[in-house]
Amino acid sequence: MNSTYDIPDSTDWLKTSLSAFEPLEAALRCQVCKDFYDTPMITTCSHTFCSLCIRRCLASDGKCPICRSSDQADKLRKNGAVQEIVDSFQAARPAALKLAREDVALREEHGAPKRMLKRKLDDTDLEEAEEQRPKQSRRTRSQNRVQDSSPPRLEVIDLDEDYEDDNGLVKCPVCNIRMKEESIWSHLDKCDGQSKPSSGRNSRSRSTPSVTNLLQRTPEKEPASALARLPQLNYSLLKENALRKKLQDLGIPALGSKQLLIKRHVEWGNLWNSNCDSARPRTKRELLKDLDTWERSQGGGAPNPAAVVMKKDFDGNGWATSNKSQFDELIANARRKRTPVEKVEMKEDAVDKMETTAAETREFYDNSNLHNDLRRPSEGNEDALSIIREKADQANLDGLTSRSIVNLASRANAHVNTVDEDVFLDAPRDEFIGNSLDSPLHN
Amino acid sequence: MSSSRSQTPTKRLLNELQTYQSDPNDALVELGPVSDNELTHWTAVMKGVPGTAYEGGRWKLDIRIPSNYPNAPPEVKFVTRICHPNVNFKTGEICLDLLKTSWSPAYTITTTLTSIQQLLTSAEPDSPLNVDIAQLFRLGDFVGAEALIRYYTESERWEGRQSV
Repeated sequence: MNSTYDIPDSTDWLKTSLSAFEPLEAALRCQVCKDFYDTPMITTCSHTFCSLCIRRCLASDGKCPICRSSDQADKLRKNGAVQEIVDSFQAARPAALKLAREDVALREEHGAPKRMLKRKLDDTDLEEAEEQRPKQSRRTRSQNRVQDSSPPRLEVIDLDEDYEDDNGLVKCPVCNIRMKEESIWSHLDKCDGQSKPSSGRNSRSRSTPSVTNLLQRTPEKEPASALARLPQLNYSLLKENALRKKLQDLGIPALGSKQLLIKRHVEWGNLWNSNCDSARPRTKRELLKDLDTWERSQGGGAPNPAAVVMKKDFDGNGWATSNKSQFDELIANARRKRTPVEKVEMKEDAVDKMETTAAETREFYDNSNLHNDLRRPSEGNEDALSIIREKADQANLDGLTSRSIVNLASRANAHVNTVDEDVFLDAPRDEFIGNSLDSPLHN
Repeated sequence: MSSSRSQTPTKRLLNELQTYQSDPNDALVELGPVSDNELTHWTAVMKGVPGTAYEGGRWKLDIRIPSNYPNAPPEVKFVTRICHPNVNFKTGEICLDLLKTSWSPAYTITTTLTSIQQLLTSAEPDSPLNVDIAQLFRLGDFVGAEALIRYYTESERWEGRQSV
C-alpha cells in the first residue's frame, strides 16, 4: 500500500512558496472523485463534475451532489474550457511543484533575500512550462505584467492582434501566416491550412495555435461523437426477459436477477455514455473490463455474506473448523434435551413394538400428536449422535458442502425433540436409528 | 486518467487521507484507517467544542465505508459513549440526515465528521435517540441537561493514544 500512497493532492501546494495554488488545484478537481476532472460536464445548475461521476450520481439519486437540485443525465453538456485548463495544469504541475518546493528549501538555506523576485521568476517559468508554444512575444508581456491572471492576458493578446494588423500585413485566415494584402488571394488558392513555424516578425499570438488545434482535432473527434449514447430505459415497463435480451444485444453479461440486470445496465450506460463524452474515447474492451471490476466490487460478484455458504467452491472444512463451537453447542443442546424424557422410555418401548413400517410410523405421528412426547427415540440417542458426528466428519472429507452439516446438526437437535420426517420415510422403526443418517445424505 | 475511473472507493479514500494529513481537521484529534490492509474501516477521535457542555471531551468513532462510496454515505458510530439527544447512548448510532437521506457524494469523511461535531451543539431533541436527555431539553431544564452532559463527557472520555 505504501507504494501507491503518494497520491497527488491539492494540499501538496500548502507547504511550498506557491500555497495560493492550493485553491486553484482544488477548483480543478471533481467534488465526487476528488481527482482532476476527467471529461468535465456541466449540469443545468452550473456545477462541473467528471462525466462518469455525475452520471453515476444522477443514476443513483437524480440530484446534483453540490446543490441538490434535480437534473438529468441527458441535460449534461461538455465543459471544454475546463478540460483544456485541467490538461495544461496537469502537464505543468510536476515542474511547477518541484520549483515551488525547491524555492522553500532555498529560502530555508539563505534566509529570505530576493524572495519576491524569485517568486516572480517562478511564476514566469511556470507559465512557460504550461504551454510549449512560441513564447517570444509572451515573454515580454509576462515580464511587463507578471501579476496578471490569465483572463486579462487573453484580452491583451486579442488587442495585440488588432494592432498588428495595422502594420500593412494581413493574416491568412486558414494558416495564419502574415503576408502582404495583395498576395493573400493567390496564397489562399493554394493554402493547405498547415501553419508553418513562424519566422521573422510573424510571431503568432497565443490564441492562434489553439484555433489551429481545434481545426485539426475536429475530424479526429468525429468518430467519438458518432458513438451513439445509450438511452435510459424505463425498467419497470420491461419484462425480465426483454431486459436480458437488451443486455445480450449490448454485449454485456446477462446473468442474474432482474435487480442485478438493472444495476448492470445502469452502470454500463454510465460507462458507455461518459466514454462518448470523452475526447479520448476508450475501446469497448476496456469498458467491459471496467464493468467487470464493477461487477466484482459492487455488482453480482460483490461479497455477500449470506451467499457465501451457497457457493460451489465453498470451503466446507474451513467452515466446519471455524464454526466448530456452534456445532458443538448444538450437539450439547441435543444431549441436554434428551435427559428429561428418559422416564417415558418404558412406554416408548411398548409403542415401538406396535410399529413395523415407516408408513405406520407416519400415520401414527399424523394421527396422534399427543403421543409425540412418548415417541422420543431416547435410548438410541447416544449412538445417533456419535453417528451424526461420524457422518459429519465423513461428509467433510468427502467434500460435501457444510450446508448438509448444518442440516445434520440441526437434525441432530430435531431428532431428540420432534419427529424428523425425512428420516422416517423409508426405514422401519427399529432400523431408524442406524439408517436415519443415511437418508438425508443419500438423497 | 483511467485511474479516476476506478470502481472501488480506494483511490478516493487515499486521496482523502492525504488531504487530511497535510491539512488536518480542527474537529479531530486523529483520523485514519484501522489498519493498512483494510481501507474501508476507519477510526477517528473527535474533540468537544470549546465553550459548550462537550468542552474537553474526546470520543472515538467507528467509520465503515461501503463499497459504493461516495455514492453511499459512510456508516459512522460513536464507540465512546456520549450523552446527546440524537445519539443512542448504548449503540452509538447517530441520527443525522447527512448520514442517511441527504448524503451527497461531494461530502468527505472529514466534512462528515465536522458535521457530526456541529450536531453536538445543535441537537434536535424532537427526533431523539436518547430519550432521557432529550426530555430534559424539551422541558427546558438546560442546567440539568448540561450537568448530565458534562458528567458523561468527563467520565466517558476516550483516553487511548492521546496526542494532544
